[in-house]
Amino acid sequence: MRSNYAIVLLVISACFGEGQSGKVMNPDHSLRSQLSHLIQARRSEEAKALARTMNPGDVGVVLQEIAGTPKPAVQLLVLDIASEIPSVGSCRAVLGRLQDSNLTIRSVANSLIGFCNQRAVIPDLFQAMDESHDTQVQGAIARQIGISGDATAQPQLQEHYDNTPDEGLRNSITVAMARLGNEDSRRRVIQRLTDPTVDARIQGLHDIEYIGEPKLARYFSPVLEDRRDAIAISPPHDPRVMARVCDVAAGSMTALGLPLPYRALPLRRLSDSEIQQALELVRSLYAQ
Amino acid sequence: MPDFVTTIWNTERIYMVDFGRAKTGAAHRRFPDIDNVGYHDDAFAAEHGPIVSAMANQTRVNVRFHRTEISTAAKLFAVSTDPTVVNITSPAGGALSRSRSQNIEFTAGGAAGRADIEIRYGWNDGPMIGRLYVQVYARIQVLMRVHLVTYVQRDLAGNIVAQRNHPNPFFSKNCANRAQRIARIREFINQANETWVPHGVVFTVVDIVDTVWGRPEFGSGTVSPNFGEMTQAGALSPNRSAVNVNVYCIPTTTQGITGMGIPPAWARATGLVFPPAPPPPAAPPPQHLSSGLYLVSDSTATAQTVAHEMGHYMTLCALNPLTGNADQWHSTGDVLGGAHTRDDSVSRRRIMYPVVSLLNAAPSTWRNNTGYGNQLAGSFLTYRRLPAAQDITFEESQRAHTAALAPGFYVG
Repeated sequence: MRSNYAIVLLVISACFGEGQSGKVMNPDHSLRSQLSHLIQARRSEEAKALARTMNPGDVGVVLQEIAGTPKPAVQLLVLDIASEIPSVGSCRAVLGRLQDSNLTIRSVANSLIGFCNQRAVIPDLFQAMDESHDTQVQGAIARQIGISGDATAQPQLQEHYDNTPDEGLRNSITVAMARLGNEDSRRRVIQRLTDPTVDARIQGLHDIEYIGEPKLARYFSPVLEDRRDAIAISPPHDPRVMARVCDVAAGSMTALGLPLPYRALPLRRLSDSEIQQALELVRSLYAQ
Repeated sequence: MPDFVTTIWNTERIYMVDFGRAKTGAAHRRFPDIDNVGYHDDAFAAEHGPIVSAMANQTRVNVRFHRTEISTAAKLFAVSTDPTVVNITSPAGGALSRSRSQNIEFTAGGAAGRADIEIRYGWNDGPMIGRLYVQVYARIQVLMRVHLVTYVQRDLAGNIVAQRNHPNPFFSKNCANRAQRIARIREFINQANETWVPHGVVFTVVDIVDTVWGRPEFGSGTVSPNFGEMTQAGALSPNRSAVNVNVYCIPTTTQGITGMGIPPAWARATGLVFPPAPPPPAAPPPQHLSSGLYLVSDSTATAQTVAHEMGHYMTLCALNPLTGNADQWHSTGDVLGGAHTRDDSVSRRRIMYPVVSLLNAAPSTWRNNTGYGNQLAGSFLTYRRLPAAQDITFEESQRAHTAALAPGFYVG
C-alpha cells in the first residue's frame, strides 16, 4: 500500500508540481507536464487527445524535450504525435532521431522529414544534413529545404552540391535549388525533358512537379509528343497497360494545376485529342 | 577408401559439400532458405558460394549441411570466420558427424555483419572445401496499423442505404466476431514474419482500428469497389496513419485479388494521390497516397499473401529508382501481367513468384514441391545480385531491408 501511495504522489507531483507548491500555476505549463507524463507512461490515446487540444508550439516543446528518452516505445509515440501536430519543436524532435541507433525509430523519423515545413527549422535541416551519412536521407532533407526555405538557402545547398560525388544527392540538391528559383538548376532540370532516354524524361517531369512552377510546362512539347511506354499503370496480374511519356506529361500538368479540360491523374492512356489539347495549352503558355 | 573419388573433367565444377534449408514445409524464422541459385554476385564480386541470413541476436538458426561428393569418413569441421557475427553452437566444437547430412546451428551476433561458415578438411584449421556466407541484419520493425474496414453508404439524411461487412468465413476461417477476426489477422502477420525475420524485418502490429469507407472515400455509392475506388478510399481513409504501414482488411473488391501491396513510390509515380489538387490559386488540401497493404477478406488470402504483398510494399520485385515504375512485379522472367513468369523449381521457391498454388504441370510433377509442401509456392528471398541486363529481380533481401529504412517508407 505504501508504495502505491508513493506512486500516486509522484504522478500528482509530475502533473501539477508547481501549482501545488503555492506558486501561480501556468496552465500551459501544467498541460505540458501532463502531456509529458502521458507520453512517458505510453498512454498513447490519452496523450494524443490532450495534444490535439493544446497549442502546437507547446506540444512541440514537450516532444523536443522527451524525444531523446532511451525508451523506443516513447520515442515512437513522440514521432506519432509529431506527425499529427507539426511545429518547430515537433520537427526538431524528428530531426533529432535521424541518427538513432534503433533502425525502427530511424525509419519513422526518416519518413517524417517531409513534415518539417517551418522556415525556423532550416538551420536544423542543414545541421541534420551535415550529420547524416545516408545520401538518401540527405537528399530528402535537401528537398525539404527546397520546400520550406527561400533563396537565402541556395549558397549552402550549392556548397553541399560541390562537396558530394553522389549523383542521386546532387540531383536532389539541384531540384531543391530549382524550386528556390535558381535559374541554372532549372535549366538542368528542363534539359532532361529532351534527353533521349525515357527514364530521364520521366524524372524531369517528376522533378518539375516538385518544383511546382506551372510556367515550366511551356517546355513540355517534346514530352507531349513522345509516345513511348513509360510507367506501368496496371496492377500486378492485370493485363499490361503502360502510360506513355505523353500521358505522364499531361499528369504533371494536372499536378501543376494547369487548366486542362480533363484530369490526367491518376495516370491513364489519353486519347490523341486529349494529348492535342495539352499541346495547345503548352503552346499558349509559350506565347505568354 | 579415399575421402574423395570423382572423375574430374576439364571444366567441371566440384562441390564436395553443399548447404540447404534445414526443414521442409512452411517458412520458419530459425530455418531460413539458402540462396544457392547462383554463385555470382555483382555486389560482392569476391564471393562465390551459397548465402543465408539471420537477424541480429537471433538464436538457434539452423542450416542443413550435405556431404555431396565427399566420403562420410572424412573428418570435417564447421568454422566461423568471425564468431562475433556467427557463433556456431552445434555441433559443439565444430566437428561434423559422419552423417551424409546434418544441421549446423548458430547464433547471430548483436550487430549487422557478414561472416562465413567454412567447412575445413581434417582439422579445424585444415584446407577449406566449402563455405556458406551468412549476412546478419540489424533488426528493423515495420510498423503496421490494421484497419478492419467496412463499407457503409448513407443517403443525404444519414440513413444507411447499403452496407458490406466482413464475411464469415473471414480469410477462409470461421470468425464470427471481431476478436476472432483480429486473431486471424494477427496469425497471418505472425506467420509472414517467419519469412521475413531472417532478413531483419519484423512486422509489428501497433494498433487495430475499425474504419468505415463510404461515398466520401470511394467517390461513389459502391459497396463492391473496383481498383480505382479501392485505392482512392485507401488514400482518403479515416484513421490513415503517417507512421505505420496502413493494412486495410476489406470485405471485397471487384478486382479479383487476394491482396495488393502498393509501394509509395509506385503510388506517387502513377498519380494515386487524393484528393485532387484544385486549380490555382486555391490552396491545395492535404493530399495522401494510396500506398498500403490491401487484404481481401472474402478471398483465399493466406499468410503468404501478406509476406508476398509486403514484399511489393518494400519495392520488390523491381521498382525503378528513378521513375517509380514497376519494371517487373514478380520473379525472373515476369512481364507485367505475370503471364510469362519463369516457372521452374527456383521461381516456385520464391516468395515473389506470382502464383500461390503451384500448377500441376504433369509430367513434370517433380516441380510441384519445392520444399514448402505439395503445390505450395515457397518463401525464398534472393540475396545475390546479377548484372541488370541479366536479371533485375535478384538481391531481394537487401533491397527490401534498405527500402524499409528509406525516407518515405511510411506515408500519411
